[in-house]
Amino acid sequence: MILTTGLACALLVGGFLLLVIARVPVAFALGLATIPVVALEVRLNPFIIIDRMFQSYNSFILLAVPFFLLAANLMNSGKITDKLIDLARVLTGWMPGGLGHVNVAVSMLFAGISGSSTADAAGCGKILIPAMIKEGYDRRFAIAITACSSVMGVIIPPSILMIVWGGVMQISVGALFLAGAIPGIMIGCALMATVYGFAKVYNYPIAMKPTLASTFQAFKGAALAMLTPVFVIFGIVAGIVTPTESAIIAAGYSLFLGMVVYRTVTPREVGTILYDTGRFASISLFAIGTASVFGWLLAYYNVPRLIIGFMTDMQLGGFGTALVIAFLFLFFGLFIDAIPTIIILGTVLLPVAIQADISPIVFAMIGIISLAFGLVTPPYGLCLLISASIGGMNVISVLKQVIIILLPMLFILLLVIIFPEISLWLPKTLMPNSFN
Amino acid sequence: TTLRGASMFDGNHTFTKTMVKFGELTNQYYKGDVEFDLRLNGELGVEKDYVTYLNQGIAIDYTILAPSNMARFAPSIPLMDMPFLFRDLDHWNTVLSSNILSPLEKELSDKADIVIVGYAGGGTRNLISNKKISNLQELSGHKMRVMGAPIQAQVFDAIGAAPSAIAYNEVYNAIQAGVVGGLENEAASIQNLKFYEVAPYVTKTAHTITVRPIVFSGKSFRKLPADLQAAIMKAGKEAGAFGRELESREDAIKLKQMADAGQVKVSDFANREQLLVMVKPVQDKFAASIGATELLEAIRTK
Amino acid sequence: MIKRSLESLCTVLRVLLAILVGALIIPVAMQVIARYTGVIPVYLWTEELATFIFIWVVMIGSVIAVWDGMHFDVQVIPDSSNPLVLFIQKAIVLILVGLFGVLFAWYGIDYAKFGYIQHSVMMNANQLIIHITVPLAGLLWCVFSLYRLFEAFEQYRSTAKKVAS
Ligand code: NA
Ligand code: NA
Repeated sequence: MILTTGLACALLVGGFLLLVIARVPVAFALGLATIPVVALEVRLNPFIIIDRMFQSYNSFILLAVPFFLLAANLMNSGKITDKLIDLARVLTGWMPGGLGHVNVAVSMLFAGISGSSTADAAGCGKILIPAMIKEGYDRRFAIAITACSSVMGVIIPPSILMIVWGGVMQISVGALFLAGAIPGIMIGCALMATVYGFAKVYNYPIAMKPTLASTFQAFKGAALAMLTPVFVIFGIVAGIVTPTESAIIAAGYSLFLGMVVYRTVTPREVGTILYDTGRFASISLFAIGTASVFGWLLAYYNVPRLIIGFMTDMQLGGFGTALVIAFLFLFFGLFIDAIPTIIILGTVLLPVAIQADISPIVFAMIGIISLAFGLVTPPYGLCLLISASIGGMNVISVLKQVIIILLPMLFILLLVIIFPEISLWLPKTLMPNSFN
Repeated sequence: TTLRGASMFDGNHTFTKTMVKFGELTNQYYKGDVEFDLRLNGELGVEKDYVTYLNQGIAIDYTILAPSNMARFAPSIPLMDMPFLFRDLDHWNTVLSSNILSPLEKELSDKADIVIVGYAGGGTRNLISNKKISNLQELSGHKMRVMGAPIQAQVFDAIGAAPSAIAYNEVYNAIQAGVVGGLENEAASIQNLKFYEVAPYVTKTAHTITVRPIVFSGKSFRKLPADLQAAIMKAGKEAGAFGRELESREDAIKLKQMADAGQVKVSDFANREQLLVMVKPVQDKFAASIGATELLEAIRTK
Repeated sequence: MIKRSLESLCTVLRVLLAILVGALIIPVAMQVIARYTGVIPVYLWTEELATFIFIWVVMIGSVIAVWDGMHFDVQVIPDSSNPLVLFIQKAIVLILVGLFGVLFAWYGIDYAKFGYIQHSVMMNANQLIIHITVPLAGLLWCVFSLYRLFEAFEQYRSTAKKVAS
């Protein structure tokens, strides 16, 4: 038979939700949900599904994912993360709620070096969640702040998501990197304000009072690690590497730091790190395949065309359209990973954004920030899953804390929507020729 | 019967218009009932996927493809868009209106089960660069991105450029960063993908006039009644001619638009004839390697 | 016995995965070095080789993650304390993953054949070397999840016995 759009959509989305509730892994749920549609629809067959999935891996840009993860994993096991935490301690540990601020600050530092949020949640979480619990912080708060702060990893440059976005939609990745800096820092400040509020209410302690000597020591220790963004951004700006290739520079430099400078990574450990990177990367990448199939089927049944038509009919204007775009990214982020959402939804909404006179760079920032929030929103929020498993708790039981911490972050997203200059000012100032 | 087509572009693109025309003409020539469902904007994937679907006879029945996408099945197909194959638009039009390419059509049908029903195309590919390149000296050592087929790299290597491997969706960023100095492409792509923002110099090497076959899935084609098949072949030829006329005209207009808007600076290549001499051995060698020496000679003398 | 052989198969896959991730660095690094320093010539096949390795990384990784139960799932309803309910819930998931594996393996054979009639453009490599990952991954998802199903059943039986005694 030939399925109608409504029936196909119901089978796909309904099937997916049912499978997820039954605790089928999300990657497989996306694939399994396509089976009834493919079985019923005469015009489709399993071959097409397999090919869609397979071809989605056939992309050079996705190589940035394992390389940035490799860089971050090398930092975590090379004790570079510890040095960043030391630096964050002297910078922010003296405030009430000290370790909470340290958690946020180290995520900002980590974000400036790595393009991945999950590695931040895993690496910093392993050290800071137990430390916070020991100092009397609420376990749920420790988990929630670790997860929420890690989302800065993909907003503050460098960023895997921006590389994929720039490649898929032909936008300068350099300009996207610059556009993400200010919103990222604003989110960091909003998080610190939230930590301060929690500290006042629950009477959380300060972590340490830095001395001149400890401050100097911390800066010295972290200095070499903080050079990574310089290398990555220099590599792109100087034209040595493409954005995807820049990920390999980050990995190479982290390897050099770990093996030669700090000598904390042994050749044997490199093997383990390569393995861990491969396994973790392929878990998310595998999901990109099934998500692509799922998205392709929605497109096959004309769903994106309906969305665009609907949005054009509503005559929302610039601000309204931007709000709807943010909402759609936030909503998709609840269920699917960020990269497949960029591929499925980003390309569909780009013409909508352009029609509403939203700059492609601002559109990218709205999308990326919204998707970054998706990293901590259940049911499918990888960073929250990771930090909850480190803290030994169920995702549902920390939901309230996550929502409280997310609210000020959503306010920053709203500011980014209302004032495009927040994103545009830095790239306009430093890269004027990417605006014609 | 409903026949489904796919286009990576919107309704204004010449490929889309050509396929719409193809549908109209088929309806006109066929007495029975046939409907065309053309999906736009890459809804059903990219050209690389279309090849797979056509080969398997699934998802789509017809589309327009760049020959390089079919090279995985039939290694001689890249001959169709080999640089410096056609002298000029007239030569190109004469070749495509004849049935001189039928050996390639047969190979494609045998190895990929894809039927060519007509030839569209007509974009002229030129060099696009971030600095001026107007003669052999300036071309020498110029780092440029080429399409992923050995013959493409060999030809540009033969004329002194330094071809480089960069994924198409990284080209924009690679030029902006200076990883490469440019690429080669037609006016429509320069405009759509905004390559002029990073590489405003266009040098009229006119090395390729594009050939874009209108293709039908062999599996779907054989299922159709004979009179519909005949209507499709007839409509394909005419839609192809329509598409060629439209695209070659629009190509020139687009280039002029961009030049008038100050987006690109167009210049000629000094002593272009020299390039033809330089690439001839490479072309001959490639033709020999795929057993198409006679075909190449036939095209050249047409 | 079965467990030991599956475990060692998985170890082989783990080592292979680590090697492939390391190997991934080589073509991409070559590409950068060639273009920027000119020490080695520009090879056009680096991008193709990188994506080939990448596909193997993704497929092997997905197989290992099935064995380790590492694919991310989402807990919406809290776990039941009844061992039978818990077993049934686990069994449904493992059977569905196994089913997906069977379909992948079965239809993947055609997909592998489809790869066999193609050659990559730059390296002229038969596409079978990457298309074969599809039926292979499907088969291994299926085998691994069925073994985990068997284990879950054993575990249920032993808890049920304990409760009875
Ligand atoms: Na980052
Ligand atoms: Na953190």
